[in-house]
Amino acid sequence: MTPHEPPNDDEAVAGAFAEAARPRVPTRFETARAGRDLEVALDRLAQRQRRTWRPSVVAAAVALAGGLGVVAGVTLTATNTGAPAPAGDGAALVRADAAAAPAAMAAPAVAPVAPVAAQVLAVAPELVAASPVAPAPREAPTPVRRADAGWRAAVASLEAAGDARGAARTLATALMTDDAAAAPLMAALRRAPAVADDVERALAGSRRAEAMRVRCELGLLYRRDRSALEACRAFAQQWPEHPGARVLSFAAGRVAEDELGDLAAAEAEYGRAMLLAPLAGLPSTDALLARARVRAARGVLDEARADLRLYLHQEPAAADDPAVRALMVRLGVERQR
Amino acid sequence: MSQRPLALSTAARAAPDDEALVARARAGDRAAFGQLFTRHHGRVTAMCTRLLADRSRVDDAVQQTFLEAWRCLARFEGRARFTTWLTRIAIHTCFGLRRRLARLVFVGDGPLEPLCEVEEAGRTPEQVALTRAREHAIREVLASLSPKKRTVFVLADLEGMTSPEVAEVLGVPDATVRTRLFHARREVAAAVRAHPGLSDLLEARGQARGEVTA
Repeated sequence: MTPHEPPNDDEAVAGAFAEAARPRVPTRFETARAGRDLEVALDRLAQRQRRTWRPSVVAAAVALAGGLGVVAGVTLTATNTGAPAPAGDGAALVRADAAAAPAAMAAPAVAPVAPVAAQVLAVAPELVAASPVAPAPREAPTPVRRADAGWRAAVASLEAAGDARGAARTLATALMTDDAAAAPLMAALRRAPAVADDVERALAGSRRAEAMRVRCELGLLYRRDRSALEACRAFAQQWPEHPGARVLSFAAGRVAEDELGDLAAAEAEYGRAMLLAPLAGLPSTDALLARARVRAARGVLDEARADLRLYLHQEPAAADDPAVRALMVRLGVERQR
Repeated sequence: MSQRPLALSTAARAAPDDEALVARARAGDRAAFGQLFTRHHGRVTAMCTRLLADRSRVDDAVQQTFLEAWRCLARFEGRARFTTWLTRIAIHTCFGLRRRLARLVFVGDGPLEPLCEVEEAGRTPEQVALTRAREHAIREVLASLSPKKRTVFVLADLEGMTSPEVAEVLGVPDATVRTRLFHARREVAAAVRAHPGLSDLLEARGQARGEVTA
């Protein structure tokens, strides 16, 4: 038989199948809803394009500034002044995220009883660890600094005088204009946690990436309430491509799940972490497992099974993990061959 | 929210051809792009539904297709029809997402997600179960095809494109399309005959030809 013979029985059967397999055309309302979603996505695309780092412009600005001898009090950043700093905590977050994944995978299938702070640390130990300066893990705008804004000297003198609270407040003010203040601010807050609320309030109005990230971290570390979730949500929505957005969404999910008992919010945060994972160049398997666990707890069993099966498809070796095994048994999911 | 909405409500009133809308969209007119979206959303969704597994991922793929189209409109030179160009983007998106992100699951590779239709009022549990079983069977049959054959089958037999159109979309010779389609239909027929959940298709066809079924 050749491909050019007249229709035969096979073609008739295939035709009947095609007729049955023809999918339902979306309704007018579904198209309209998809249109609204696309509209939002186009806005975000335009926003990202506006944020795009333009090396030629910056190089020209640096050359101009150098040529004019402008050195004092000038900090050249990306064309968008709120662009995320690539060589600070964000880099550390990304690196630590991979290390944090096994800890998340090893979490029990039911709500753990460990203190929340420990759970947050298990997810994102970098939230309290010192944030070393590291090279950017992905292409990102690199601020070109010609000089400090002067806050370093002020902070140094306050710390020398033992005024940790004053140093933290000064750093919070500095963070409103200089992303480099983020790492010292977090270190200062570890020495003076009582000032965390003040710092959080001071950062509340800022839309800069680092300010929003620090506010989210502070909320997760010190408040662990709904306002913390809101801060993290706002950060992830405003800066989805920030290296820290993904891990903080995951950590927010843990807080929502374990501290607040808000499983719907936890599911949303884990889902957001999964969506952000490709932007951060990271796998989303830990969030997938966590979402399966939350969905199982919510009684949304079909979706929980779907998540767990996809997780096992991506991480077949995890089926040997006791916690994963327990979830498999609970949901009636078999090990994939 | 955008200050320049997609103007979906105006899409039904105006009916310029694709080329005119593309020209306006290339100039940055999002309302024109909104009309293009309204016009082609159903077709792209239907195609992705049969190339991908569950509904939520289909939505992702469809949205990414149109985002990519918007981003690349400046490079669209009009040598092919907009429909052809968009279909090509949709296919590349469906396959590319799966390769790059390993998040998208192809038909039959993953679990069967609940259907939107099961929640429709006025349907008995038996009808719901039958619909789900039928959908599952269809996916299994499509999953038995290789990606190349599946794509040709979806475009030609489900979307109703001619073989030259499919050839243009896929960038392969017409003869290649017809060969793949021939083998795809043969494999589909064999899979349908072997699948107990699709026996009603064969029975209906036999009754139409006057055959007596057991």
